[in-house]
Amino acid sequence: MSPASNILTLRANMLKAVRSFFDLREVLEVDCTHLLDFPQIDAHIDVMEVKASSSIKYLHTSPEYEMKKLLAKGSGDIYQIAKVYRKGEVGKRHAPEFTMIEWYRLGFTLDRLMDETIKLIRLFLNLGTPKKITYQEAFEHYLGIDPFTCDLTELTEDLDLNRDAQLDYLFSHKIEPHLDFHIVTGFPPSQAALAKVDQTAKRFEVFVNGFEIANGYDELQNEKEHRRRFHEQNSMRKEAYPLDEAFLSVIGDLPDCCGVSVGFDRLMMLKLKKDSIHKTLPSSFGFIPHEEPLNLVPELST
Amino acid sequence: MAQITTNDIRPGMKLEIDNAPYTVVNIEFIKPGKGQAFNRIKVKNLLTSRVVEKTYKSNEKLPLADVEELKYRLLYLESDGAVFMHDETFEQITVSFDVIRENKQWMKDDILFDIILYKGEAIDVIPPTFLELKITETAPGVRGDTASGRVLKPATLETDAKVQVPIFIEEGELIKVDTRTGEYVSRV
Repeated sequence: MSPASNILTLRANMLKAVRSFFDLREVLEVDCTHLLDFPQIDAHIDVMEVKASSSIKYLHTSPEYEMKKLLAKGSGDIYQIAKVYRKGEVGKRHAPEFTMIEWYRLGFTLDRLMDETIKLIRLFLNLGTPKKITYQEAFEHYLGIDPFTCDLTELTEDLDLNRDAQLDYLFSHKIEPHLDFHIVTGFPPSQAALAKVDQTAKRFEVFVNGFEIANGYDELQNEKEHRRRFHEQNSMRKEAYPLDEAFLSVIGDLPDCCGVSVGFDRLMMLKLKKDSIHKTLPSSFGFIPHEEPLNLVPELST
Repeated sequence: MAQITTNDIRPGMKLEIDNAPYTVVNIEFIKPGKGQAFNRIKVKNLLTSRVVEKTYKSNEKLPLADVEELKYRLLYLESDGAVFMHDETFEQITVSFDVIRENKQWMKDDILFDIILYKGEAIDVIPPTFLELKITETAPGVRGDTASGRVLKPATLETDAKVQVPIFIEEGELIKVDTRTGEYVSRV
């Protein structure tokens, strides 16, 4: 078997394994539209625009909004395996199109969802027990500083960064590489995304071999708070995105739930021991020169 | 000064950082899922050869270094430098041995060299990967001596380079050498 068809077979097997995992737990597969009327709002994620008919549509950056609309209408537990799109994200661990596994569990605590997420990751990798660590503990342990109070300017190469970007710099450059199998919790409220906040953001991230693999939330339901966070995120963008009022009008009906997304291709990278995400993608076979430096695609990086 | 967006930086590009020219060795895109994106680049200082890592915010603009690489033919050596001429413009430049450094041992006349210019001044001279040079001095090989395991002997080439050659190579012969490693490749 050629290496390429071997990877294709493994991808197919893992997709099958993920579906069985959710079948067993009676979580329903959904396939929401990838073409949205409004772009999703994150300060640091750029949305791709497409001309679908006479109108412009936006490729989803995660299936979150459409899945939450279903949850608000009473879908119950759901999961989705979706290609998602992020403009300009090209690197060894980043592809502008990648596969995300996202699911929502009604009535779950964040801890229970963490356990389930670890079980899903174990479908791909033989791992021991994850170490639980808070965001604050991670900074104290690896950098000897308190991320909530310490002045970070001198630690960040004189880059012109706001506080959250300074934290992102330190976390991604100085901490993440050390996280071999860790669950990080207790993120700063300013990095809550769409998670509830109780002193710290009720979020967790799972790291394996220095890779960010999963990102889970205790999901925010309050409409006003959604608007406030969207405006806050928008204010950091060069161009503000319009809000999806259809999403905001139903978000108050979102049942108590926790949700998580997992990067399928990064798990494949770790499983296949590849140094580039592009070496795991079926669409890359044949035109990515595998043994040479990563062939970056210039038109996607603007 | 011409600029480039950090996302468009590729290995081999020349950047101006802290008033010095650097060549990009590699670049990595680093981004927490929802967080700030960075471009981490490994760059080599073209003046000192020191390699450093630098991080920039994605989509930031950086100045490109005024660096060009031109082919010049070596005309002759002077006491403190080498004189080259461009084949088409006939422009002549003198490059000091301070700049040529260890590559002085490959200064063979009538050969095309790559000269790296920074703001119009030569900062490096790169010889062809392989050169054919005559042996000016080496001890005669003793046949049958291979049994002792000694298969190489020192030799001096016409450019004064000192290399190791197989014992069957004689003075006056032309050999091919790899200028990156200073190793003998073959007889010509």
